[in-house]
Amino acid sequence: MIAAARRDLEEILGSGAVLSDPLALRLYGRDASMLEGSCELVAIPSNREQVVACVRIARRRGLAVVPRGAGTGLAGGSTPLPGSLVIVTTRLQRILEIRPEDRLAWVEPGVLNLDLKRRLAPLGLTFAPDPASEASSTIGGNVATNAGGPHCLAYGVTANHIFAVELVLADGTVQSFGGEGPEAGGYDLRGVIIGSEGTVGVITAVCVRLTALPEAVQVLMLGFATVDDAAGVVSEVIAAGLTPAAIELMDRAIVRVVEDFAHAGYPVDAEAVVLIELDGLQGGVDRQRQAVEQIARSHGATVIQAASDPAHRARLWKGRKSAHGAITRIAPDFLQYDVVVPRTRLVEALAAVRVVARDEGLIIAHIVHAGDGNLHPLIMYDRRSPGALEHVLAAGERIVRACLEMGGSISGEHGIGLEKRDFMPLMFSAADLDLNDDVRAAFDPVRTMNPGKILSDVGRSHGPAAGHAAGAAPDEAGSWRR
Amino acid sequence: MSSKLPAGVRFLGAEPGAVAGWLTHDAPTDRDIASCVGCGLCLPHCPTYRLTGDETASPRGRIAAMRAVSEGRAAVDATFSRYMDLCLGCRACEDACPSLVPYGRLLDGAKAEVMAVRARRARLVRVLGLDILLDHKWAITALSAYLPFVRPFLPPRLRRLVPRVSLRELARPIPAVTLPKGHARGTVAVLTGCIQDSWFRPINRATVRVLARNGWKVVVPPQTCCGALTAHYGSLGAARRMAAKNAAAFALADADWIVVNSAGCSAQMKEYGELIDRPDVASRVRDLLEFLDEQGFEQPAGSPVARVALHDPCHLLHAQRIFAAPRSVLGQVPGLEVVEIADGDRCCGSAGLYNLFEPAGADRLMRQKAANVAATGCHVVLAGNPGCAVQITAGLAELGVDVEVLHPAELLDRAYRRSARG
Amino acid sequence: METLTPGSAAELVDLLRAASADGRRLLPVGGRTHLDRGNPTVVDAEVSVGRLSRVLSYDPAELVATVEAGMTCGELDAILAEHDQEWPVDADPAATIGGVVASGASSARRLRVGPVRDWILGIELATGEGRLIRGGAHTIKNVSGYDLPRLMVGSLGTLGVLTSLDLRLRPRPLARRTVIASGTVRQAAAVVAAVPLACGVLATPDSIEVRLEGWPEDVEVESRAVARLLGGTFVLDDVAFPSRQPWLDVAVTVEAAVVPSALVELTRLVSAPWGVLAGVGILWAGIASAGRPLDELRAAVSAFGGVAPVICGPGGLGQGGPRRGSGAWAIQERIKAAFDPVGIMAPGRFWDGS
Repeated sequence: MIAAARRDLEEILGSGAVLSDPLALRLYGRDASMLEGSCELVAIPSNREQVVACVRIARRRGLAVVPRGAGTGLAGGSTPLPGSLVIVTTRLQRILEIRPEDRLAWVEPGVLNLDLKRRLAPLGLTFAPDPASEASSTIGGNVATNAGGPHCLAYGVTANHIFAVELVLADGTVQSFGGEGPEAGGYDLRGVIIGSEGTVGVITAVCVRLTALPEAVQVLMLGFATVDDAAGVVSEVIAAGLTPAAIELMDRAIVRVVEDFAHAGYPVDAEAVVLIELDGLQGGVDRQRQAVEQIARSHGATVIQAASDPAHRARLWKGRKSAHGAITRIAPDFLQYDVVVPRTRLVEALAAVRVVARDEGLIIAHIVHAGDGNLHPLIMYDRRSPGALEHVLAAGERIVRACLEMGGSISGEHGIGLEKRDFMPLMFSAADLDLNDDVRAAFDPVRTMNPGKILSDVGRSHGPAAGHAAGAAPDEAGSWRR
Repeated sequence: MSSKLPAGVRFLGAEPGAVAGWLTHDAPTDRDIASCVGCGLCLPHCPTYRLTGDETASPRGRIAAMRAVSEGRAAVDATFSRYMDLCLGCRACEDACPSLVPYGRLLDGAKAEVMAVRARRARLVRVLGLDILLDHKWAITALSAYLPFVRPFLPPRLRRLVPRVSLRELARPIPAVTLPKGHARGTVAVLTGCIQDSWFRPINRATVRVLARNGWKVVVPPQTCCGALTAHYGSLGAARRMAAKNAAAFALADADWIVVNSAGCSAQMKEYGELIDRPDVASRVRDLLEFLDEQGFEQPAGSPVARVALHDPCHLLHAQRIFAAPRSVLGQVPGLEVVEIADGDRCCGSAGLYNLFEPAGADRLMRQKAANVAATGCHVVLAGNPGCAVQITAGLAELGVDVEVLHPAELLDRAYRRSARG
Repeated sequence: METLTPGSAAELVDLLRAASADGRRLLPVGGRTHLDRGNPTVVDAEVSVGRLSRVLSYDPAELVATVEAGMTCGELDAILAEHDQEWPVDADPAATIGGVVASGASSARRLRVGPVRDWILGIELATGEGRLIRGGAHTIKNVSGYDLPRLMVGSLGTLGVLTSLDLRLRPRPLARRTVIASGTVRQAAAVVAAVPLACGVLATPDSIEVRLEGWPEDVEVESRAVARLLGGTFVLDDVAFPSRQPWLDVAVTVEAAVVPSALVELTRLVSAPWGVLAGVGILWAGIASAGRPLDELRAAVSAFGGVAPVICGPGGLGQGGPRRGSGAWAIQERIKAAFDPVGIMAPGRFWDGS
C-alpha cells in the first residue's frame, strides 16, 4: 500500500519530492513541540495541482493526510500519527498578488510571515499577526493555528486578518471560503478553518488583510523587583483604558538567556521585565507613555526605559521572540504550556503556578503575553532522571486546572494539536465536543485530514457524527479511524 | 498534556539504556545536540532549506538526524551522510539560534562520522587531497605550476573554478620579513594559506603591503594549511595535525598578532583554542579588516572606484560574527560608497569544497548571488575569501556581466598606490 | 403567530427538543430590528429571547462582558458607558445582542474597529436539535476547538438560538469627532489612505463624513489632515456616525459588500440616496422597490464578486454563498444538519433559500 502510494506520488511529483527513507520520516515526525510521531511518506508538492494529487493518492491508498508548513507549531498539530502522508507546503511560496487599494494580498501557504511583511513594508503596509516564530513560520501555518503574537493585543489574532482561504478538501476537490469583500454569503466557515490545525483540508492559498503601519512606535521597558509588581502594572494599564499594541512579561530566568543572545540591554538583575509597545500617532503615543510611566512608578518599577529608535526596538523584540528557543540554555528538557486567564487575574495565576512549582519541586519560568492574560509557563526538567516527565505532566495539569478555575482557557495561541487534546473535556462538555466533531466531519466525513488532532478520536456521547454515513472510510484506513 | 499519547507518538528524548550509533571519538556530543530545542528559527537562514523547503536539508533536520543516531534510532549510513554532505557549512543558522547551538562543531563531528563510512575510493580521494596535499605547500605549488597547461583541458565546470595562475608569481614567494617604513608599531604574522598562496598570491602581496604601509612589521613563518577544508570534510585528525604545526610555527614567530586574509582560514585558526588547546594562538588571530578596524589604519587619499558591492563571506559573517568591521574600514576610504548586496547573508554556494561535491545546489546559489551582485550596478565586488571569489567570478561570467572581483586588501592597496602616485 | 418566550436556557432547550421532535418550524427573534435581512421563511412559531436579558458578568478592568442574548444594544451601551467602554457594533438600540450577531450587522466604524465577528469571544447556543453548547471562551485569547462564535455571525437563526455571549469590549475613545466635507468616492479613498485614525469614511452623493476617534491631540492633528485633503470642513463632536442614513428611509435598502476599489464604479450605477464606506467596501443604497433596480444592482455587484443582501424592506439576500451542489455547499449543508438535523430553524431564510 505504501509502496504503491510512493509510486503514485513519484509519478506526479518526481522522486526528489517524495521522501520515504526511515531517517527522513523521522525528521518529519516532529514539529517544534516536544512530541515525536511517525509517518509513512512525505510529499513536498510545488503547486496546488500537486497538492490535489497528493490528497487524492492518500485517499486512494488509505493514508491519512498531515499538512505541514515550516514545522514551528508548539502543540504537535503537525506531529504525524502512523499511517499518514505528510504534505509539506513550503514550496508553495509565491506571493501571488498585492493590492494596496483593497488592502489585501493573495499568498501561497508556504510564504514566510516575515517575508510577506518585508515585501509589504515599503508600501507602508503589514500583515499584523506576529507569532514569535514569524521569521520562520508560514502563512499557511499561521492560518491553521490561528496564530497570535505579542501584537495581537491591539491587532487581533490571525482570524481577524484573513479574507479568504482556499482549501484542498479530503476528497481532493478545491474549495474557496470567504471572499475579497468585507462580507460574503453563506455560513462564515473561515472561523472554522482558521485554527483547524489541518483537520479540515490542506490550505493552498490565502487572501490576507493588510494593515497600515503605525506612524509612531515606542517601546517601554520596565523592570520590577517582583513578578507580582510587574503583573499588577499590566492589569492597571488595561484597566486605565490605555490601548498598547503589546504587553509582554518575562521573568528573570528568561531575561537572562535572551539577553545573552540578543544583547538588547535587558536588565538582567530585575525579577521581571515588562515590554509595552505603544503605537499610533505621535500625540497619543506620548500621552500613553506618560500614563504608563506613571503607573509603573507607582508600582515600584526599578527600571523605566524608552526605546523609540527602530534598531533598539528590534533588538528588544528579537530577544522576546527568541525566548522559547533559548530555554535549553537553562535546562535540557522543558514543557511549555499556553494557558489563558482573565487578564485581571494574572497575579493570581502566577501565584498558582508558583504554588505548583513549590509543591512539585520544579523550576518554572515565565513568558507571558500579559496584556491578553496568556501565560507560557515553562517547566524545566531533565528527562534522564527517572519519573521526571510524569512529574512534569502532573504539574502541568495542575496549572491548566487552576487556570480553568479562574475562567481561563487551555490554549491561547499554540492550539490543541496532540499535546492538549486530552484537556479539551476539562473545558468543554461532551455535547460541545460532539458538535466540534460534527463540524469537522462536515469538512471531512471520513476523517482522513490530520486525524487525532484537537479532538481525541475515541468516544462520542451523542450519536453518530453528522454526515458520517455519507462517505465510508476506506477499508485499509487502519489505526486512525474511529 | 497527557502521557496517554496515541500509539506511535512519544515525548522527545533518549530512552533509558539507549546506545548511540556513533563510530568515532569525534562524534557530536549529546550536550551539543541537546542544546537544539527545534524551534525552527534557523530555517529561513539556511540556504539549502531555502532552496528545497525540505526539513532534511535544514540545520534543525540535520541536528535531529544526529540526535537520532545518538539515541540509537538511526545509523550513520548513506542517508545520514547525504544529509550532512548537503550542508554548506556556512553557519548562517548559528546567528539565528537563540540557544547558541554550536552548529559548526556539530557538523564537523558529523562529518567525521560520515568520513568513517564513506566508500573507500571517495575516502581515498579526500584523504589524498585534503589530508596530505593540503598539508604540503610545496606540493600545491608544484601542482599549481602545471595549471596553466592543464587548465584548458579541464571540464568546463572545473575550469571556471580554477583561476589563471601566473608562473611568474609562483616563482616569487612572499618575503619572510617585510619591514615598514620608519618605526614599527608591532609585528604581525600572516597566514598566506594553501590554495590562496598558490592561486591568489597577488592578494597576499597586497595584504603584506597594506600591513607594512600601516606600520607593521610583517613576518611569514613557514606554515601549512590552516586545516579548515580538512576539518569540514570530516578529517578532524588531519585538521588537528595541521593546526598543531601551524600553532607551533606561529608561536615561534613571536608576533603580536596573527593576521589572516581569508575568512575561512581566520575562522578556523580562531578555533585552535578548542581544537588543539592553543588559546594562546587563537586569541591573537584576526581577520584582516577586523584587524585594521581594531588597530586603526591610514586613510588613503582617495578610492580607485566610486562604488563597491560588499560580499560577506559566511565564515566572516556567521562563523566570526563580523559585520561592522569591513563597513567601518571601507567607509573610511574617501569617495568610496559601499553597496549592500540583497540577501547578503545568504551563502554563495562555494562553501569550501561544496562546489565540487554538490554542484547542483552550489550552482543555484551561485546564480542567485551573481544576480544579486549584478543588481547592485557596481563594477567591483569585494570578497574576502578565495572560495567566494572564485564562485562569484564564475557566476558573474555565466551571467555575462563585467564586474571585477577584488579582495578588500587589493582595493586598499590600489587606494594607497593611487594616493602615492597622486 | 405564536411567540414562545422561554425564561431560561433550560426551557429553551426543552422547547427546541420538542419542536425538533414535532417538526415545528421556528424563527428566533430579538428586537425585530434586523428581521428583513434574510430570505422569506414560513414558520409555525417565533422564539423570543426577550426574557433572557441579564448581564451575567462584567468586570470593566477585564474589558469583557458576558450577557444574555436578549439584552438590547441600548441597555448594554448604557451599562458600558458608565465605565467609558463600548462594544463597537453601533446597532439600533432596540436590537438584541443575539440578533445583531445572528444577522451579522457591523458598525459603520468597521474600517478601524473591525466587523462584529471580531468582538465576540464566546457563545452559548441552544442548537435546533436542542443541544446546549458552548464555543470559544471568556478570555481575550483562545484557540481551543473550532471557532464556533464566528460561525454564528450572519447565521440568521438557522443553526439555533443564542442564549449568551462573551463580548470583547474596548475603552471608549476620549475624542469622537465627525468631520464633514464635500468630495467624491475617490477622494474618500484618499482619506482612508492618508488618515490612519479614520474609523469610518462615508461618501454620499453630496458629502464625505470622516469619523475620527482617539486621543484628543491625535484627533486634532487628523482633523487638519482631512481639511488639507478635502478643503472646507465642518466639525461635529460626540455625534452619532453616520450623522444621517437617508437610504434607510426608502422602501428597500441594500447593503452591498465588494472590494473597496469597486465602489467608485458601483456608485455610478445607483441613484441617491446612497452611501459607501470607503476602504471597507460597503455600499448602502436606497431603492424604490425590489424589482428591476435591485436585480440590476445585484448583477453589477456579482460581477465584482460581491454580495448585495437587502437589510431593510423586501428583497431577501440575493445571490451569494457557495454554489448549489459544490463541495463548499455540501459542507454548509452538513454544518446545518449538525446543528439542526430536522430543519426546524427558519427554513428558507438562509442564502440560497436553504
